[in-house]
Amino acid sequence: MKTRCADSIRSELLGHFASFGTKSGLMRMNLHFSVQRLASRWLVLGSKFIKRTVDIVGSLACIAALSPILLVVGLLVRMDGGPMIFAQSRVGKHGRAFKMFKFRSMRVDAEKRLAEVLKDNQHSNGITFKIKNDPRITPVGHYLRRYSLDELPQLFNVLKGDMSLVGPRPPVPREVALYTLADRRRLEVKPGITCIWQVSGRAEIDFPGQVKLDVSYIEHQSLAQDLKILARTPKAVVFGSGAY
Amino acid sequence: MKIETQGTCLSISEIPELTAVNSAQFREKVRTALSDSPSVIEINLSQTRFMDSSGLGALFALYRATTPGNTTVLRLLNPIPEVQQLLELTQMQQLFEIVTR
Amino acid sequence: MKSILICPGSRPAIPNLVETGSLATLPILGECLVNHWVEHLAALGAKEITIIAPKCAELVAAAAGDGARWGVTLKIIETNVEPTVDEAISHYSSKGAEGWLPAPFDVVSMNHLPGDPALPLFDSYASWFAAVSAWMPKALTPTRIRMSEVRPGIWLSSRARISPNAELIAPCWVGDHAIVEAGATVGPGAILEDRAVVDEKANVSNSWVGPDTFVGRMTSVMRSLALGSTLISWQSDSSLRVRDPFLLASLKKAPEAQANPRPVRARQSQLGFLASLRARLSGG
Repeated sequence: MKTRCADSIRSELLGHFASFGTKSGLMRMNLHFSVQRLASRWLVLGSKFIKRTVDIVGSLACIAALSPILLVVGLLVRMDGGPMIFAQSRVGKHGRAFKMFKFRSMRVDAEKRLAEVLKDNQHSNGITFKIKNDPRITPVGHYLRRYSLDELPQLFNVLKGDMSLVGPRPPVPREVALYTLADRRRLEVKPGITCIWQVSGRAEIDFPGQVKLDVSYIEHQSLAQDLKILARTPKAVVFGSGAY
Repeated sequence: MKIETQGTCLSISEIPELTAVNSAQFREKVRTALSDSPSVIEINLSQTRFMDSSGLGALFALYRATTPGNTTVLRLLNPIPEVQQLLELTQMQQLFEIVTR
Repeated sequence: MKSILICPGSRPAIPNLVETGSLATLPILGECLVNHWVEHLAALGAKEITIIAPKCAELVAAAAGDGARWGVTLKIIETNVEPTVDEAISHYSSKGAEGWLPAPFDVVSMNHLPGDPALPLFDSYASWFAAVSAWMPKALTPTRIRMSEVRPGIWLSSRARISPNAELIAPCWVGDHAIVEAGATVGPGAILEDRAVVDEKANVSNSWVGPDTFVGRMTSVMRSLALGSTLISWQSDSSLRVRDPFLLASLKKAPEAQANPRPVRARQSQLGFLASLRARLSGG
């Protein structure tokens, strides 16, 4: 058995070496190398390129299709005299901060009321934050949040490149300051407008569950997975599952 | 490049390089020397500073020219460390005996 | 908590280990030395890390950024020479022992990987390989994603592409986006860094294949370090610059830059065409 293996290796080698001595043989081998080089570059850059293209095309398409809604919502928000857009500091890929755009849904003095309201936090670990009947939200804001319309301006973050259509939700710096190193794994990719735990149960999932699902998403990130999540997003949004 | 025959041993030495530049010349010279049908062919690589795939191709051509039916012993002598690395990388020890004396 | 990291300067024993850049930013098991240490210190509680970078501050900054990735603040200081631990303490640390990580992590001279002070990285090529190989089981730190030990001693990236006909023998490491083609044998003792390609029927054993390195069809890389087109035998300390890209090459640079200095004309024009095609496809 062993000699047969050695003989077959030897004969393969002989066939291989035969190319070394001829111009055409060398050309063939260099061509093979160039093809391998292209293939490996494609493997590395191709998926990133596709994701970025889908992000740009998708966000432009959504902005175009939803432009009447965007206009109406924008005007409704302006009605109480405050700014239309709230640019919140969020944490993106590799811990880098960026300004995430939302329609303003809180009263203008909302951040000041934060401390009094923190004690009503329903997420027990103190890292993430969600409560029912938050008094700082405007009437318009309440309605916007119910159907996630306040999140629509993030389409511009996607166009800009801060975010992707699909990815882990970007946390606020206050949350990230309390992360363990293991939690930081969810910052290894660009954050997204919609993500896997949003389409499986939204804010009802607690923090450790979010991290687990995000890491699972990151490790198996693919166009197919992204499209599946995008397909389930409208339903999750419309039924407002988990959004208080 | 020096080619000597001592009995049935063909000895090739003083080869400064075995690359695309001189591999054709090497092949020519060795081919004429093969007409004596040596039983042992030793290529002294102690002065060979550079080798590439063309040089390996020339060595392979030598192997091809001597093997059919023959029991010629093929040896590469004293390759410098860098050339030794190239020979190991391309598994030339399957064709040639690589010897350090 | 504070800490100081000293990047290695020049190391005459291992001149060929760094193609471009510095020893501090050379990828080891998917991450560079600096990043391994920053994460280790962050896990120990460091919040502010001063990195002393002899002639490599830009590269270190490109690799580690401002530290936000690990929740620490990095201060990178460019110097001309590598300071000793004592020099670093006197120049860069404030008085008093408060606010510093406990020794030996208050000032670290990065001559070894975290947790393995007895395995020097830069004494020789052989010691480098031994240290990196010994660190494989420790490389899966809390922030590591995509790498997992699929079988005892075999670590694979979820994005590695391994042919079903390829053979993997423990211990081995196949990095992110690495490719192992049909009939190839990887291991025992093989490390394939990110984006390395091992072509059909090639053999890699007791060796390290650097990032973006192509190991050609039917070649045999044994007891060596392969970085681009440079092949270093860690056993004999000999270094070879391989001239034929289909044997061993960098996948980053164009083939012309690595080809035989006196190439055949036909091959040259054919490669030139492929280079321009490649440039057009990747958008320049």
